[in-house]
Amino acid sequence: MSIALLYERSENDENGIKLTAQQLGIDLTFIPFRKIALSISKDGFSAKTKGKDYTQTFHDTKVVLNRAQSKNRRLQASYLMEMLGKKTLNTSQSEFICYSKLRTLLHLFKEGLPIPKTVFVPCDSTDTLKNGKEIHNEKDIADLFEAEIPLKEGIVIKADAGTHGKMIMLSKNREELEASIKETKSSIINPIGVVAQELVQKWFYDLRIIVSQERGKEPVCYHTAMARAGFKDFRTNTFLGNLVFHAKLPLSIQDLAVKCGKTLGKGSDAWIFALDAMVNVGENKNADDTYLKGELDTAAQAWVPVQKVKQDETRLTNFPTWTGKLEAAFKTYKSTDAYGNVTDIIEESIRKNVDALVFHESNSCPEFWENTRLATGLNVAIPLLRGAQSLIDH
Amino acid sequence: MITPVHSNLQEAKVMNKAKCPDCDAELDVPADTEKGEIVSCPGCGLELEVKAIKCGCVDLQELTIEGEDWGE
Ligand SMILES: Nc1ncnc2c1ncn2[C@@H]1O[C@H](COP(=O)(O)OP(=O)(O)OP(=O)(O)O)[C@@H](O)[C@H]1O
Ligand SMILES: [Mg+2]
Ligand SMILES: [Zn+2]
Repeated sequence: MSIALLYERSENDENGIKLTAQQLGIDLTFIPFRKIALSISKDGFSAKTKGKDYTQTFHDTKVVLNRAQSKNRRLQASYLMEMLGKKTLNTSQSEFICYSKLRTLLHLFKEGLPIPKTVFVPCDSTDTLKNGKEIHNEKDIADLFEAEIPLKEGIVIKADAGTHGKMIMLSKNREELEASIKETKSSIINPIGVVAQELVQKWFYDLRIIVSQERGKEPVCYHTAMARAGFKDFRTNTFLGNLVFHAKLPLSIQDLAVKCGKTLGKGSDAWIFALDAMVNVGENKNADDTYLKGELDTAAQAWVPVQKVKQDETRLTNFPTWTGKLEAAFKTYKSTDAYGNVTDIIEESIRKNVDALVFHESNSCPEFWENTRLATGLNVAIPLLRGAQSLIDH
Repeated sequence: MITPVHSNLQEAKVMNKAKCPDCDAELDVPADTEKGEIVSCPGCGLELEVKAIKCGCVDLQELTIEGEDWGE
């Protein structure tokens, strides 16, 4: 009985999980979840690619680490595997919740956990009539949002299942608001309706907090979060050119994060989530913006060599060597004064605004090899693999 | 009557051997495949780009693709 890594493509995180498993002496089998025929009939289940029969691999699998990159494929994969009697990390229930920002927030809301004010309107921005004519609902939807969130303070429109900052739009006036609502037309990352959120005055950073549980143990929050920081865009996603730092978390925040994890992982013995959170700093700032921008610019220069290594194609040909290069570049980046100064500012800001933290989403299949691992010191593959092992041992 | 030795010479394709960088499966890549072409691994289904062909040796590399709903 074994642990299978289910994946679509072996990207850095999947290669990182493989490498970590080797180092920990954990045997993994591999299930490619792409060009494979998964068949059910009166004769039972089979799984075959054009050149290989994976049926036995499926039979021998007890726990599935679900790393399918597409949210929809991931959901289907966990459901299928559970129906075949496998344990999944994470479960289809957790995948179903995390798939949608609204569903995630509903679960946190129900537990009384802090979230940004969020408004959902089920109707789409545009309806198409049978004769092909279109009805536009943007104005009505904008009215509904404006009645709930003061527009002058900013309204964020979000694709409910979007990722990487896609379709996350800030509006500060009526024209922008209607245009943003119009943008959210029904799609694979926003199947129905429109989600709006109050603009959290998060100054220049947000946080990624890792929580996990192994079967038979208490859930844990890793003591250090990754902060994504920059003034470039109100979205702090790293792919938009923001920088990453680490930030020690006060115990009260760790406790809240564990509660989030318990809620999202309810009903399963092992789980792992990367929670995204913002601190509503408002005007309670502990550094001058001009000074801070200077430090961020300096840190950005130290970040360039890290970016260079990331783009290096040796990651495809020699992953362990590439990883070594990345670690070295990151170490140099972290040793700069600017990095230290920004980290100090973020940590102090969190301490000063400890009660102003809100959780805005949860990631069930987090990326970690390139940033989270090196910024925080936590190789997420370890709790992931330990979680899987705990499901086998019991 | 003379029977041609290789009656199916027209159809028989010459193949080069290659290895999938992901699952290590052996691939038969037609010899007339050109650099930049995309082949699919029969073992894991991964789409691979032909990077180089040198004396019967084919270098394959994973393609970087990203779907609309790919996310954490
Ligand atoms: N209500 C908000 N107020 C202020 N900033 C926000 C708000 N919502 C999102 N942001 C900013 O935009 C970024 C992207 O938003 P969000 O995390 O909701 O979606 P996403 O990044 O596309 O999803 P994923 O993290 O799964 O890739 C956040 O990291 C944050 O910096
Ligand atoms: Mg996010
Ligand atoms: Zn393969």
